[in-house]
Amino acid sequence: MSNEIAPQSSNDTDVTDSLDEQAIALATAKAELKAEYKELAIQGLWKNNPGLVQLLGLCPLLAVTSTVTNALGLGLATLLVLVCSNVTVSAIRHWVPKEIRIPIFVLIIAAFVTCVQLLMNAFTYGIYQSLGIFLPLIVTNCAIIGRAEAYASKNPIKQSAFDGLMMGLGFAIILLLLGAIREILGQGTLFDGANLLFGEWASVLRIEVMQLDSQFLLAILPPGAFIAMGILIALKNAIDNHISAKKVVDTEKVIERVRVNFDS
Amino acid sequence: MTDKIDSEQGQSASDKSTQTVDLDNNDNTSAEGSNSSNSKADKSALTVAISKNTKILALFAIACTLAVSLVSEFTKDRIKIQEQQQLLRTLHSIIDPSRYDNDIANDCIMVSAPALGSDNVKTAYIARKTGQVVAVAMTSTAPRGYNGNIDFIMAINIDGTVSGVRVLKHQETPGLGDKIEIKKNDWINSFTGKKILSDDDSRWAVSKDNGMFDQFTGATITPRAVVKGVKDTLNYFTKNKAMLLTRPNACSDIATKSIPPINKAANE
Repeated sequence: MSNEIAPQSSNDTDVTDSLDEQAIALATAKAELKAEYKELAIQGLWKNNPGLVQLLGLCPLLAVTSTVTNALGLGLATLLVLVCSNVTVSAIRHWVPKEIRIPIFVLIIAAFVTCVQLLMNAFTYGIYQSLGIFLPLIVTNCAIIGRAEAYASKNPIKQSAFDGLMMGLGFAIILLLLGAIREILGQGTLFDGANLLFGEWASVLRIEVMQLDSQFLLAILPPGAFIAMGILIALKNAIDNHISAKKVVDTEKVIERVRVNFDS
Repeated sequence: MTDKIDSEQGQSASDKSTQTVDLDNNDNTSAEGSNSSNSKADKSALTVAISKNTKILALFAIACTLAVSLVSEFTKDRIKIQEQQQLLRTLHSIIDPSRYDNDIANDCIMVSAPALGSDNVKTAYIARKTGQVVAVAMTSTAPRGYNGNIDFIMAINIDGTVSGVRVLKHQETPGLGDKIEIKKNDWINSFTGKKILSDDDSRWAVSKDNGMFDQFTGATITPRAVVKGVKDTLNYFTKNKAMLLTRPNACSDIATKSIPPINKAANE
């Protein structure tokens, strides 16, 4: 809205100074940029969440989330790969011919995943072992090539990095939520084995939420992951429906008030 | 005109554009192949495009390989240290470090026998105190787990008693069969101090089969497999003890390189 008003005010004063116009153009560009960042954040974290809405990367999402620590490990690894691949793809987007962009994106992503895998092997050996095959499988996470293709290959580096960050965060949050639900239901703990990820000091993070005589198997096994995921998606849809219903009511109310004002 | 439309289609269907573009190229060449005068120029244009794309792809492949090999070079030593530390941690948990004084991780023999569960070559680490063998830590496999092989390492004292067993790798059901891990349950410690009396010692079975080891509620197959694997390995060792211990050290070539990490790990 403010963008539309700004040029009008300049017309009123009839100042055709180029400096002013430049400043206005800069301001509008800035505002647009801000709006775009905001939109990117909303898209990544909620509206177009890779885990809940796009349902991309379900294989690691369901297989690894038996504990919060595993979920956090995979979430961070995916986030890192996503940001790096988005930045690289965006940086080289002018030099990549359209015909061979997919193999190039796959190459870049595979290279980053291998690097992350090597680094985790070197510095967080425990979590590397408990993530097992799902760490190299990040390569096949469609969310990453999806963002490279849909966003990073068409947009500047900064926005692409932000997009990767937000999408990665959205994915990691869902991983964490699922991990927390399954770990509490299955083992009655939180952050079990956090020392594998962060080193010895993190063993104090382990929280005994409730004492279970025997583990609740369904929560630990893959079917439990599917059920928990379904509940999360249902919850998200319910919230969306609730918000849109509220919005309709709000707009109706506003219209009524306007009418009353006109009548009086 | 057709070119324009084709290219527009390629752009709109962005996901499949690689395929469509390829198809378009084929169509163009076949359609204009009839005009013999144009075909040569088109073909050369196509080859130029192909060779250009190939070069770009090759460049990216080289760059990516370079990056990966750089990281690999940078992390290689560190990964080796981590693996050694992990090995030492496991060895310490089944043979008390005060019982031996040699560099155990670099004193080993390679063993391959059907009694050890699989055809893979197994490593056996030898613990010595002032040159005398006190125990041997053998890696082995228990076949017929609930979900495939169970890899474990077991330390056997020189007098034939079990010093300790740890499961290294398995795919048993979480929550049921995975109680063979020391993290989940201390069942695996029930082997410690046990000895085998004869070849087919009937006590070496789960209690369901009238043996001396407990099974888990809901999971009998997993402990049965582990008990059988441990028994076979123990039998193999007692029978071939003399032959095994005279073999030359197979890990000594690494010894000179990795002494610092082991000292560091031993201090922890």
